[in-house]
Amino acid sequence: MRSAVLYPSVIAQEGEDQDVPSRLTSTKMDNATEETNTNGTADVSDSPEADQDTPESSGLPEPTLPPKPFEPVFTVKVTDAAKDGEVVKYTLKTTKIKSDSEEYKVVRLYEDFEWLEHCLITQNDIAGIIVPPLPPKPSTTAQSAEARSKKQLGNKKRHGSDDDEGNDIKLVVGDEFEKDCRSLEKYLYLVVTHPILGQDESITKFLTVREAPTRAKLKKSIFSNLSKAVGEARKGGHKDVNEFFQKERDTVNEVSVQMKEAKENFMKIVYGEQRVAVGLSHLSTALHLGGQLQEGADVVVNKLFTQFSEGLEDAKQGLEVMAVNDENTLGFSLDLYSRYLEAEKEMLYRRTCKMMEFEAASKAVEKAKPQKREMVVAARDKAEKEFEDISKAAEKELKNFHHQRVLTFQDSLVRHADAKIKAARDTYALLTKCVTALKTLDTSFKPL
Amino acid sequence: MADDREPPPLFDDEKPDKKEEEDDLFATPNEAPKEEVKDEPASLPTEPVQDKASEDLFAADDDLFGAQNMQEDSAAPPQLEVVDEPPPEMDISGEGEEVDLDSPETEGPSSPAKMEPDSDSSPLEAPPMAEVLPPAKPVTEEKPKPTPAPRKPSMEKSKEEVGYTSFAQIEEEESGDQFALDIKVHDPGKIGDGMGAYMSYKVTTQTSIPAFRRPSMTVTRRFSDFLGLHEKLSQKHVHIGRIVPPAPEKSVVGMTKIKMSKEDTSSTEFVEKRRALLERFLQRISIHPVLQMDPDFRDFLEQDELPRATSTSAVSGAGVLRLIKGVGDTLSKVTIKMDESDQWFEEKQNQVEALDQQLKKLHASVEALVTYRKELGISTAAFAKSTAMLSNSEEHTALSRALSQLAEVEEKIEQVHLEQADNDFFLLSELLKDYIGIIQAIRIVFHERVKSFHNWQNAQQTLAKKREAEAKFKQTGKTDKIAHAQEEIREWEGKVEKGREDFEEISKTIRTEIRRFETNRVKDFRNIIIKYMETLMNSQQQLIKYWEGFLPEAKAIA
Repeated sequence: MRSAVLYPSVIAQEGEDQDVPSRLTSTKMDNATEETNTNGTADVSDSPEADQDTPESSGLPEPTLPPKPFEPVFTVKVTDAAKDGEVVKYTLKTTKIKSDSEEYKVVRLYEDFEWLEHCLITQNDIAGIIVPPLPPKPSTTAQSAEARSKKQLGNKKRHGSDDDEGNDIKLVVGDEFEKDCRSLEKYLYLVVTHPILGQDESITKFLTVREAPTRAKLKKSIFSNLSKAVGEARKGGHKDVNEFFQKERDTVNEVSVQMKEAKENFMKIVYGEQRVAVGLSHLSTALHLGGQLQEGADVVVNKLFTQFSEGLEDAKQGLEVMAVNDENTLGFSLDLYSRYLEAEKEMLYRRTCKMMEFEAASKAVEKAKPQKREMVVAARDKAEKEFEDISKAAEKELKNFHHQRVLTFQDSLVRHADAKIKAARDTYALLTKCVTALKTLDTSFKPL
Repeated sequence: MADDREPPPLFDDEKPDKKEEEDDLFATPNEAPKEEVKDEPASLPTEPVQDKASEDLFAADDDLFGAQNMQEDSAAPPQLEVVDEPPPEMDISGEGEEVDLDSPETEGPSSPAKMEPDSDSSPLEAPPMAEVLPPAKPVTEEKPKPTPAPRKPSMEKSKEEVGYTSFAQIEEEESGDQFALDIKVHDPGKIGDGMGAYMSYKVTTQTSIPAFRRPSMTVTRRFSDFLGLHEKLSQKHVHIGRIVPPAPEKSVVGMTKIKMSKEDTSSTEFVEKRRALLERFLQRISIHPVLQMDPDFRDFLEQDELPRATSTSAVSGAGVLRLIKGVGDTLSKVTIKMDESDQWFEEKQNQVEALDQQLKKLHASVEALVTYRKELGISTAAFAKSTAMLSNSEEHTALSRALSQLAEVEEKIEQVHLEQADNDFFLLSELLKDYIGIIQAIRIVFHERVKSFHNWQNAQQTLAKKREAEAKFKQTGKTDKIAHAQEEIREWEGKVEKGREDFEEISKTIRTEIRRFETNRVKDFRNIIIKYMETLMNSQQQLIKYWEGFLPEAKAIA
């Protein structure tokens, strides 16, 4: 009665089919269709589409051209992650949307992604752009695996997990390549579909050129992060001239914290589900331990226990599937937006800085002595223009961003619920079979 | 879920259907079989049926044990013999009745085959049929007691129960119609305040046994009363080899919390755990053919006032005596060895020890599971709160609404997890603990047998000495002492004989008790496991329900 493959899509994870329920195909693809609609309606001015087929330096968007909806050039899949020593290599498969025949396959390291991000940021005016967040580096060392296991499975000594000498058998969570691939894939999707970033030649090269681009060493200085934090703290509270933006700033400050917390709590649920699954599994194993007794009532009881143990395995599998699905659906979105909201905060901060510059420049004009007046006025005009530019770009970004966010969450929530329903139904069916088997089990025995 | 729990015994084709209509059948079966029986007083096979039909299970038992005749409907005393088939417990009798109705003739021929008191093939579920029918075996002592405990789960009730279902409730349902003794422990209440405070429980009994003064009664008892009952039963029965259900554990921590806290609702979990435990304790006594007829037990159930069982307190004089005796027993366990001539006992003891090990491991696993599930519930609640907060901050109306709905769903799911954890506990964990306790009682009984053997051996040795003494007197010509010596010899011969009889008696009783235990064990575990699996199924159904309710909201976001 036990189905060999309970949830086919869970157990046989092919490269492309990353998510558990068959419906949970790679989120990117579905998003692509949604997003293209989004982008279709958003008026983002860009260079004409024809230019996008050939990699070229995109430069800054030309606001003066009639706005043409941006259409992404590529679709990307991260199909594989292979560990080579301590380094993980990701295989990317890219196809051009316009011509399916053009396919590219490249191998990249995480450091390549970091370099890509660096290039995107430095080669574009990202002032008003909410930069898609690169997922944090996946940890592949032994210590991090253990730390992850502790976090997920808990520290408590689990009963029944002893080996013969009573040593604690540690259950270690395996490397989460699936998750990493999906996160990186989503990142690339967000870049590729971004009206401005998607045109950058860095991304094109990244996706299509076999050799990884040469990287310069990226210095992540502590100072820059620190000064950034200090700056944010100081200027972040500066009142905005614009009510819309003020509200947006207030909201994002509140929501980003809540989103992080929600994500943490959600992951606790996922870990909790996994732990209960482990508990069920241990109980199921313990039920087998009485196998040596083969007399009289024990035979029957053992039969009962064996059947019971199978039922528990079913329940356990159901939970495991749910945990995986949870992580892939709602968990994924919560995680993404925890980071994405930070990017939004950063963008708003940049604008706030520009605003303060403009305000300072305006004040300077008022105080300027006649001989310096021209210069100061020019400075102020420049600051004003920059501020207006960034505000305009930001407004568009925000509109897109929120629209995308709502759609993403809708998609995740629907999938989340769907997956839960399916898993519960499947588990219920298996449990029913088990109960039937239990009820019809012959409990006659020979009393000794 | 309306199936029978019993695995279809020999005549199972109709059973499943029958099961469902049991309630209806009760009325009719009573008449039919009786008539049959009355017509053929001589046909033994049918008599037990009649007993069953009359639901005078206890009556039958009484006769078996030579107690008063309590049969209301049953025929004349001659049936006593027949009755030695321990009246199968409820569901079984129910089944039996059904079967009788359908194919009384089939029972006749087939039953004798099955009806080996010690026979191997006494199918648990079909026992009523098998055992009762061919009672031909004059098995007065060696009743093959396949008296499964009344565990017939009533389907209706299990459908209603969404929350945890206690072991007791299962028993109730089963005892409900057929069993002549239905006991419930309910309405725990705190009496008094401070250190002198205690919990009182109502004990309600429904019975059709004539020995009780009323068919239904309710009394109020406190915990020490239960301990007192156990004490009395132990004193009377343990030394002859009967397995007395273990006394409920005292819990200093739990009780202190109750005593010290002001409100009534404090530590409801502890109180519920205890209430269920006390109920199971009484129910286990009530299904024991001998113990159920014990007058002390009867008093416990029906007397309005019981003398305070002060001797159960740990610090009383009796308590100290118990302690000393306990120590003595422990020592004797170590020092008294017995040459086991009976292979059966040796094997059984090993088996019981192995079982103990297994149950303890299982119990530990279940406890871990309960903890994990509770943690999951807590995490779910935390997430529900976060989601609610997100919902509040969300400007997009539809998304906000969906998030708020999500928060509600997660709260409901938290309840599902907590309820399931309760089920994990009250069904599985408590069952395992009960059986670990029963095994302890079994060990005690085995030990009593060893003591009995020891007594017998001592008597033999003393007799030998007396004989030697007599021989010496004869030799040395001290004729005056010879008569006295011969008297002593006769005395000790009697004691040796008694010692041997007692030992054989206790051995026999233990065999029967163990068989009963095995039968009950299978039944208990089967029923609890099924019940538990059904709670797992129920949880899944609830999940489906809640998520299906949420789905349209999610879809309506944009």
